[in-house]
Amino acid sequence: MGEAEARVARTAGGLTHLNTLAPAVVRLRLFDPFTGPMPRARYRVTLADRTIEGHADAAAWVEFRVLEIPETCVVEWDDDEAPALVVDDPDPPPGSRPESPAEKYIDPAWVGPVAEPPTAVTDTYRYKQEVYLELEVDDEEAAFRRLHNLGFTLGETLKEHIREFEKAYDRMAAGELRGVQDTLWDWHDTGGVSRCTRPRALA
Amino acid sequence: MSDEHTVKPGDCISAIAFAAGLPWATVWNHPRNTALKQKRQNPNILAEGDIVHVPDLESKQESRGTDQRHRFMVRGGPTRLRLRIMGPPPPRSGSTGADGERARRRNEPLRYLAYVLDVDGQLQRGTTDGSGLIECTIRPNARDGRLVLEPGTEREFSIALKLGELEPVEAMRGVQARLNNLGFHCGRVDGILGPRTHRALRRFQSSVGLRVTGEADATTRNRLRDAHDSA
Repeated sequence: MGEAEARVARTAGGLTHLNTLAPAVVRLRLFDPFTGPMPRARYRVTLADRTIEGHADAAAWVEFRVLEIPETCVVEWDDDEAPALVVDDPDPPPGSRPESPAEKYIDPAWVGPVAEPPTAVTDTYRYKQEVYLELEVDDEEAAFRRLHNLGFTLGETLKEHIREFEKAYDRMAAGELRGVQDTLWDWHDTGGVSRCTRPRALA
Repeated sequence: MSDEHTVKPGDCISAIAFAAGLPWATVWNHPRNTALKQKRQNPNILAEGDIVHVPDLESKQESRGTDQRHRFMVRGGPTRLRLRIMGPPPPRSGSTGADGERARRRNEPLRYLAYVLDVDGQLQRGTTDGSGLIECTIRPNARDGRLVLEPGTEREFSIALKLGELEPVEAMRGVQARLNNLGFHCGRVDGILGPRTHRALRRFQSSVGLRVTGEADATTRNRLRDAHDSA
């Protein structure tokens, strides 16, 4: 994907023709390991054609425009502090890193927010996650992507991901999509995700 | 006697007339362009391969007294670039709560939004007006532009503008370009009605209350043209 590009017409003198441009807005919400919003969190979003850096707003939302929504993007984020170089210490002291995943919500293509945990520590940001922005796919794939974005990525199959999701919220782990679909879509697409009742394992 | 000009990407009547030293209306209203005029209706939007008859320059003599200042007006007025900046299309699915409120603000003009517009090196800074409009005078043959919204902020967003490359909505490339500009992304403008274009058409049709077929029928094309080209 190259730079955003729009084909437009000129308007001859005396005429009123115009060109309408309606860039899409991607919205993300940045969460800490305990699913608390991270107001003013530093972030970096890497798209195919550009990198966006900045700070989340007071409600931990990040918003940026794109003319074409890519399938995925990479999001890195951290507290609103001076970046500290994180050395990949194989045995970090207790409490030096989060023990459960942070979550991030993203609103791709004006649908609504989605959430996901960090899966890596980067050099200047504590959390890093690839995020699905394209969610207009068949139901099972859409569920898989939403679960991925929400941080439920353990196991191989969609059923396993659903069970992980159900366990995190003290539900009976049936692993059936129809049992979680409404909640999953609602939480993912509106940002109204409840706190987990138990910590989730890192992917 | 007139020349025939075969339209290339980036051409429009203004650019063709400018190259010939003529007002655009002189070319557009030439009797030999009647069929083209009926077919395209908008001199700003021609299709690649269209034939435009370019009349010869005609000299005109006017007698005026010496040692005086006289004003001669060129017909037509300057060529302009007119862009309307809108919020994104409505959500694909239902929204609730705060997101529903955001949804209501979508698809509305982005008013008083700071921008920098660079057309062939000529910079214009300003804010969109109360209807989200940006308007500037350009050379009739200007080809490239860049629009930067909210420059200098974390929300800065840049769009490369390909002037004169919007084809008529009757052409599939014209459909695709309008879908992309309106936020119904269909990928590369290649003139092929593929899965992404079908999907974008379905979303557009749904957003404007048309029967959702994914086909670029006449009704859909007309609505698309209205949504993109008209105030």
